[in-house]
Order: sequence, then structure tokens, then C-alpha cells
Amino acid sequence: MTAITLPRGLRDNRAAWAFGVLLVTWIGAILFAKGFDSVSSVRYLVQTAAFLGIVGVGQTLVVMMSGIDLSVSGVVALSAVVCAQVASGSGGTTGVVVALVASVLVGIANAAGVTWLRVPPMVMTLATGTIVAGALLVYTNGSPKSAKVPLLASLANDRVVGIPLAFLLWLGITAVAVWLLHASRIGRYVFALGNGERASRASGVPLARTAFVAYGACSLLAGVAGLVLLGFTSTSSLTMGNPYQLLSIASVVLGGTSILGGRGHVLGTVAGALMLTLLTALLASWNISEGVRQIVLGLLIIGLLLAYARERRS
Amino acid sequence: MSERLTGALRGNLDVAGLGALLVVLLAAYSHYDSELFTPASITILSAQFLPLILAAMGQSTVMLAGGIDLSLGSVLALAMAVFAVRAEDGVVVAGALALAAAASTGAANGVLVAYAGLPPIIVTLAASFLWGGVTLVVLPQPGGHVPSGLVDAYNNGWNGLALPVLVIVAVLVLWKAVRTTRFGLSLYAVGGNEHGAYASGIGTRKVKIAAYALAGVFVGLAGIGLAIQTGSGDATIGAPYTLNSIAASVLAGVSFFGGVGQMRATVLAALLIGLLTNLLLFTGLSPFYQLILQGAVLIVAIAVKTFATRERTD
Amino acid sequence: MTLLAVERVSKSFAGNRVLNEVSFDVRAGEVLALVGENGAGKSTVLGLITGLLAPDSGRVVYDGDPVTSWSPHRAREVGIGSVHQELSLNPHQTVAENVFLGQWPSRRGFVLRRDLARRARPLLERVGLDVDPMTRAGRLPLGRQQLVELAKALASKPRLLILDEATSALDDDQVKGVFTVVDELRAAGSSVIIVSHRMGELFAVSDRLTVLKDGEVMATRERAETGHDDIVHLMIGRELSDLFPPKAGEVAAPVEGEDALAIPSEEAIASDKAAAEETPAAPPVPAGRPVLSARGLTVPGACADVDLDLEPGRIIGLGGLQGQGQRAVLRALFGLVKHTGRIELDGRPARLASPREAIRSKIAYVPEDRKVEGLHVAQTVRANLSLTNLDVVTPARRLTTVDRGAEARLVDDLVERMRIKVTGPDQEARRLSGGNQQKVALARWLPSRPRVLLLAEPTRGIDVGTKREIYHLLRRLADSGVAVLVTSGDTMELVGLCDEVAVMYEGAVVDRLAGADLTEERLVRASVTGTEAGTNV
Repeated sequence: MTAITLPRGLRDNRAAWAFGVLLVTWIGAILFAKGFDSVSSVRYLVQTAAFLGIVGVGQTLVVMMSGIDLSVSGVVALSAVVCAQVASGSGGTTGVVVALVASVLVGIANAAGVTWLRVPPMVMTLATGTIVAGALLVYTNGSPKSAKVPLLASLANDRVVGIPLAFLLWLGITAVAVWLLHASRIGRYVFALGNGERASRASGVPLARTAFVAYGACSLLAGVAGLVLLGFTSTSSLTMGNPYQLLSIASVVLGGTSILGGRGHVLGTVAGALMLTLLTALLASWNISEGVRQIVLGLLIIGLLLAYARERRS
Repeated sequence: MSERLTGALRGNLDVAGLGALLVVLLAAYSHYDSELFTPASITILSAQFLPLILAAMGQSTVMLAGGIDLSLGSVLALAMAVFAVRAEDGVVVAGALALAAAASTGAANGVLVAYAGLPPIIVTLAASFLWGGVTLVVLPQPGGHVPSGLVDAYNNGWNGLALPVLVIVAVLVLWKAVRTTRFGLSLYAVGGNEHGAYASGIGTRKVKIAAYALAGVFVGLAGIGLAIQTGSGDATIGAPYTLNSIAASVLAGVSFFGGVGQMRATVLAALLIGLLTNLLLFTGLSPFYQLILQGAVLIVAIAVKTFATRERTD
Repeated sequence: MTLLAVERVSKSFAGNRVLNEVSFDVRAGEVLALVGENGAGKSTVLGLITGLLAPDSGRVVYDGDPVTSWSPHRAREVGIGSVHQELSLNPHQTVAENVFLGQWPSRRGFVLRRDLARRARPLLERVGLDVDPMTRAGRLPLGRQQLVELAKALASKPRLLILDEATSALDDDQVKGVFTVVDELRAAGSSVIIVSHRMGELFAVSDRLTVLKDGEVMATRERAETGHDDIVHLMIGRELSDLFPPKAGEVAAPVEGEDALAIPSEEAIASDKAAAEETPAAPPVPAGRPVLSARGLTVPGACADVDLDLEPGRIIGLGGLQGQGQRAVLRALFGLVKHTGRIELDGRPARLASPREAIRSKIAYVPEDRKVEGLHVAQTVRANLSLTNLDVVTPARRLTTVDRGAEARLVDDLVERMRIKVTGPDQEARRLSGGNQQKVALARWLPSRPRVLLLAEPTRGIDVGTKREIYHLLRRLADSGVAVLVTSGDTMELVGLCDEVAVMYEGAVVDRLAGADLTEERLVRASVTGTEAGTNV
């Protein structure tokens, strides 16, 4: 019996694998690299991982239903730029609200395109991302503003009992996402869609509603990440979201979620985002050129994927 | 007879539709640029469009086999960097080196896809970090130097010949030949029904690896073209080509699921995207609006295409 | 002379032993039928022979040599051709390209299209297929695609041809054509292994029959020395009677309550039978008001002007040759395809524009393609069963939490009542046999108490024991007031199961047969001629 249950249990628990690998990496970092053994280093790590992590949680929702959201980079920038712009005129709170509404609108557009216009998700979100980037150019005339929004600054930098607020925000968001994806009715629809659209349609799964929730939530979270980033750096730029486009997908997959959808766990993405942030920090601590750093990161990601993220052959 | 005609038309719907669009666009273009159809103009425009056209052909090759290549931009930049760095020691050797580099990175992608049991989108995403790093090692700062004689001949015509046009035609002829070999048919067979192809005795792994390697050759040529056009190399210039090549392929009717699509249509679609970008410049519209229009055009074109070619029943 | 010998072969998947010391042989110039229920191990054996799988122990000897480093490629090289139920065609390539898939004849490395077409033509003719070799394979109806598959197998001039449910989508004429090819091959000294759930076909064409049950060979019999009952007995290990339940009105008391939602017990089947025999003459079926009626139902390019009345308590069949629009009727009624015409539910006009609207109107649909449309095969049995019953397992609507306890109860209850063989609710649907998959596909609709049940090919590729269970379940459902509509390519099934059969031809209903007029002969005649078979022949 164990022969049957063991591999199955391991395979289905790729999220647990992700945490295991994270733990090993972290211990390795503490033992063999300088500067990873202090509380402040841990604190800094989880704080910076929160930016990617929040985007990653949203990306997980979309990937789980066999979608993909390449517009997150645009939305991160959109939210930060719009907030900075609006806040300088009408105050921080208005800025935050306007920024989040704008973010969600992008998600709604994505869902509408994917479900009603039947544009493949990769192309649709790529297109909306491009449009957002263009719109930001027009909106800011090419030079986005800096803004100090006290609310966001404290969200990004303050601590509660020594724990960065940004990290707590990330955990709170993750908790809601766990409920949404793994306990709620919508979650069942998401998993069903991720496992086959035709069967879902014939089972009465509300395709449009599910897509709007998933893409909407993903954009909302990308917007939140943009705001936290704005609070962290006090400046906004048109390209500040760019790293998150591919890294958010990488964190989802490193967290054990199948890129084909329908298989995985949101918690895995938390491990994935921490792992990517840790690896990046680790590589940055070495005295090597940017190119070699990227090569090592790429090889590490491929190695990790080979270790536990393989799809079984059909 | 009429049945054969409608059949031929149906089979070439993409080519016919794109061709018609192209004519409209060219008409509009010639309205702004009366010199459009002069040899000089054709030469310089084709030099400008060649990288995207060849990159899109590479992407289409991979997509026909049921894959996708998110590392295309990195590979393009790698070829460009290798060529730019070595060009002064001899253009032919540099070209051969650049092509070899691109083809072997493509083959490496193919090996990972074929043997590792990882979805192409993930493998090539991770590989994009890897090849990006290699490019930075080859060329950490923008630079390198392409002999000015070559740059001039390429961009302004060589004895009245538009070299970029010749290259594109030659690559198309090469594709046409490949298409009619057993490998070409296998490529379509693997993309259309991988299991069926395997059960019919086709070496699906070899076919995939060869497809990625062939795509590497196309992308390598694109990178070399870009280096000659600009006269030097830049490791960071490749990124937009990844998603634009996917956009062109999808616009051309190449299916995300493999097995469907024509290279002629891909060339037309890439040309269309290039022309559109230039046309927007002529209209005097602020270049800031370009991205917005590009995105919108992509969505509209693909939505229209989807509805026009939707299967009649279910 | 023995062409192929399977010697003491065993094979396990993930600890489950699927084949246990299986041995049999195929002589040159003979047709061997491989029979057994779903899950008996037939597909695995064939996989070993065609090189898709490798045995754990034992060996396969082909033409005197034990095969080593076997692969589909090698198998094809040495002359093993195969046709499977699951098509290996590439729908996007032409018929000619498919016929030579993987072994395109080339000149100096180039494959010439005209060459392909010229060479494909005689092969297509041989299997009785009149199509342009330059047509895309995906444009052909399923049955014709299966014939292309046969032509493809013949292209490699096989010494051993494997037909694995290769006739499942063919009509009777096409099946005859296939058997002619089989006879030709036998006469030329080649061998054939045939697998089919249609027992009649096996007896018509085979020389010997090897029976597999639970991964072991039960017996090998000469065809001349055995009979239908003997083989079925070997297959399922018991006698099988009462394949079909009594028809509407033949059983006195209608079934009510929960009992209707379960596969009836053997006792219940026996008592139904007794009751039906006691009823001297079937009383006229009460012409209830139709739950669903369609007038002028039209799906462009598939069916036109179809009138149907689905009444509670009746099982209506849609017959005819393959691909005459039956599928489109079902899909239209479930809102899966655009259609025109008037549809009334309980006498009120209804719009069925999407499956959600159909489901809300208490219409359920069990499609023929279980793996793509009927189930989420990669998900667990639990997930499949609860997806269509989220109203039951979530306390309130919309963004609400799934009640895992209620879900577990629902799933356990359905598994038990439908006698679904699973290792547990967490087993993935794709690991189930075809029959059990079909049970899941059906069971998922039962808790919502559908009023109309649409089924396409409800028993295709399913073993005879499960077939019987499904027939009796459908009758139970009908007796409890469900209106059932079934399409099937199996004439015997339509005649045995249905109260009335509407025969379709080129998208239109050409005849309706009921009562004493509902015979296989009339059904076939109406299907083939596309005209009313008439009542007085």
C-alpha cells in the first residue's frame, strides 16, 4: 500500500516540496553565505518578497484556471503611477482608491477579452499590458511623479511586533486566496476550468463569472503590490512592474502549481516567491557579474523545476 | 471546380485576409510617404522589419510543433551580441558563430522540452534568464562593431539589391523546402496529434528538438540582421521580440495548440505589425499613443479572426 | 505457423497488476478475437504488442524472434499495423498525409503531395472510402476517420493487423467493408487481432477467441466450437440474463423516491421481469404531457426541422446511420450549439442558449465523449461528482464555502448507489475503466433530479455487465418520471431499450418506430433508405 500512496502523496504535494526546498536553500544560505543569519536579514527578505508574493498569489488564481496574466507588470506600474499622480492633487486615500479601481478595470478587460472575444489569455493580457503601458505614457507625458503617501509608506516599511507590515499584508491576502481557491464554490469552478473547458461548460460552470473573479482578483493584487512598492520607494516609474511579469509566473510554478492549470496550491506560491527572492539576494551577495548571476538563476530555476515540477506525460 | 476554388480559398483564408489588410495599409502608407515604392525606401523598410519577420517565423516553427518559445528575445539578443562582438574579425565567421549559438540554444530548449517533461512555456521562461545571462557575459555593455560597409550595403542597398528582402525570400524558400520533407510533415503531425504521431512511429522527441533548433536558426538570422541594421549589439534589445513574435504568429493563424498555420501568413502578419507601427508615426500622433493602438489592434484583429474562423458546429 | 506469441507476460501500473502471466499466440493467416470486459487488460496487451508499453516480465515473440527494444516505430517496421478506437490521425493534415503518417514516401528527401494522393487512392478504395485524398482528415465524420485509420494501417502492408474497437464508430455497411479487408488479409496469409464489444462481429469474422478476465487468460476457443453464451460466461464469470429491462407500462408499479436513483439490485431486476411477464398485454402507455417538446429544431449544417416530444416515463431513441444529425439534436437541447426552432418546457416557450440554462431547466446531458466533455478526467471522482451539485454541498449560493462533510456524504452515497468501482473518492477519474467513468458521468446529474436526461452513445466501449446496469438504471429513471432521449449507433440497444425510436437521415427525422414496429430489421431499413419503413411489410 505504501508503495502506492507514497509517490502519489509526494506528487500531489508539490507545494510541500517547495517549502522543503526553500528551507534547505535558506539553511544553506545561512551556513555558507554571509549576512543571512541575522533577524534583520530575514525581515528584509520577507518584506521584499511580499511585493513579488502578492503579485504571485493573484497570478496563481489565473494560472489555476488555465489562464495566464502577462499584464501584471503593466498593472503594478499603473497602480503606483496613478496613485502618485492622484495623491499629489487629491490626497493619498483618493489616490489609493483610484489606483485600485483602475487596476481592477484592467482585470475586467482581460476577462472580457478572454471569455467573450475568445482571445487566447497570453495574447489578451499581453495586449492589455501594452495598452496600459501606452496609456501611462500619455497620462504622465513620459515623466511619472514621486509621491510620499504616508499610509503606503507605513504599510511598506512599518513593523508590528517586529514583523514587517508588508509581509503581514501578504499573509492576509494569501489566507483569503486559500479560502477562495480551496474552500469556496468559485474555487471549484476555477479548478474545473483548469482541468478542461469543454467539460466545465457541459457541467454548467459559469465560465464568465469565474474568469472575471480570477482576472479581476489578479489585477487587484497586482495593483496592491504596486501601491506597496510606491510606499517602499516613494517614487513611481513606468517600468517598475517589468520584473514581475515573468517572476510572478516563475514563483507560481516553483510553488508547484501546474502551468497548465487545475493542479496546485496557493501556499506553494508563497514558498516560490520567497525562494526567488532568496536566490536573487544570495546571488547578489556574491561578487559575480550580472550575466553570470542570471545564468546561475536560470540554471537553478530549471534544476528546481526538474526536481519537482515535472508534468507527467500524457 | 468551384468547390476546389472555395476549398483553396478556405485553406488560405489567413493569407488572403492578411494580404487584403496589407494592401489597405500600404495604400494608406503611400498616402503619407509617396516614396514608399522606391527601391531605397523598400530597402530601408525591409531592413527595419526583417528582425521581427524572422523572429516570428522562428516562433511559428516552434508553435507548429505544439510548443512556444519565451526565450526567443534572449536568443535573438545572444546572436546579435555574438555577431557584433566578432564582426570585425570577419563577417562570415561571426555570422556562423552567431547562428551556431542560436541554433544550439534552440536545441537545448528542445532537449529540455522533449526529455524533461516540462511544459514548453515554463522551460523557455526559465531558459530566457539563462540565455539572457549568457548574452550579458558575451556583451556586458552595448557595443561591438559591425563593419560600416556592410551596414551601409544592408540598409541602403547593394548594387541596387535590397539584401534584407533577399534574405527573407531565401528563408521562405528554405522553409518551403523543409515543409515538404519528412521532417516538415512530422513537424505538423507532432503538433496536430502528438500521441498519434508517436504511435505511428514518428520520433516525436527528435522532431521537437529539430523544430526548436530550426527556430534557433531563424531567430539567429533575425539577431544578425538587427546587429547589421543598427551597426552594433545590445544585450537588452531582444525582449520585445518574444511577445511580438507570438502576436504575429497568432495573428497569422498559427494555433497555440500546434499543427495549424502557414509561414506565408506569419510573414505577412509580422510585416503588418511593422508597417502599422511606422504608419502611426506618420499620422503625427504622439508616439505615446503607439502602444495603445498596437494593443487595441492586436485584440481586435484576433477577436475578428476568431469569430470569422470559428467552426460551424460546436 | 505461429506469427506472434505472447509468453507469460505480466505488467503492473503503480502497483496494480494489470496483466498476470498472460500467454496466447496468433498463427499466420488467422483472425484472433481478444475478448474481455473493460479493465480485463486487452488494451495493455495490445500496447505491449505495438510497442507502446514494455512488459515487466515475460516476453513477446514475433516471427520467431523475441522482441527487444520494442517501440511503435520498430513494430511498424516489422509489419505490425494497428487501428485504435482513439484515433491517431492528425486532424489538420490531409487524408493522404495521414494515410502515410510517419512513413511518407519521398523522392530525394522531398515528399510530393501529388505522389501521396496517387498512392493513397487505392488504399482508400480498398477500405471502401470515397473521399478526396486532399481533404483535411478532421473534416470527415468520425466513422470515415476510422476508415482512414484502417487505410493507414494497410499502407504499411501489415503481416499482423490489430483492430482495437476499430469499428466502434462505423455503421453496418462500413463494418462489412472492414471485414472484407480482414478476409483478404487472411487469404493472403496475414494475421489479425480484433477487439470489439460487439460480440456478433467477433463471431462473424474470427477463427479463434481468447478470453481475458482480470488480467488473466481464461480460455482460448475455436470459433466453431463455442457460442455467444459460452464466451460471455467466460468473460464475466456468470450467466447474463435480462440485458434489457421491461419497457414502459410493462411493470405494474412505477418506482418512486430514492430507489429510482440507483442501479437496481438483482432481486429488483428479477421482480421487474416477473411483473412484466405477468402483465398479459402491455397496457397503452399513458400519453403524458411532454416535459420538453421541440418543433422545427434546426442546427445549420447538422439537422433540420426536427420535431420531438419527450414525455415523462418514456425512453426515446434517435437512430439512423452514423452522423445523421442525432448528436446535433442532443447538443442543441442542452444549449451547446446554436439552433433555431421552438422549444417548449411544460408547454411554455423556453430558450436554451447555454448548458447553464438547460441545467436550470432540469435537463441533464451525458455526452459520448466522456474524456473531453463528460468528465474532468484529471480530477478526482469526488470533484467530478460534486461539481454539478455545488448547490447541495454549499449552504448558500455564490461565494460560499463548500461543506466537506456534505460533499463526502453525497459522493459516498452516489458511489454506492451507482456501484462505481473506485479505490476511494480521491481516485482520479481517468484511472477508472470506461464503464465506471460512464457511471460517474451519469451519477453526477442524479442528485439534482433532472426531468429530461439526454444521453449520447451511453454504452459505447463499455462492457456488457455495465451496459446491463445502465439500461436498468435508465428504465428506473424513466419509471420515476424522467423523460429520456438516447442516441446510439447500436441497433440492438435502441430496439431493446427504447419505447420509441425516431430514425434520422441527413438531418431529418424520416420515421418513428414504436411498439411492435420497433424491430432491428425496420430500424435498419429506415436508416439505410432514409424513408419510412412502413408498417405493413
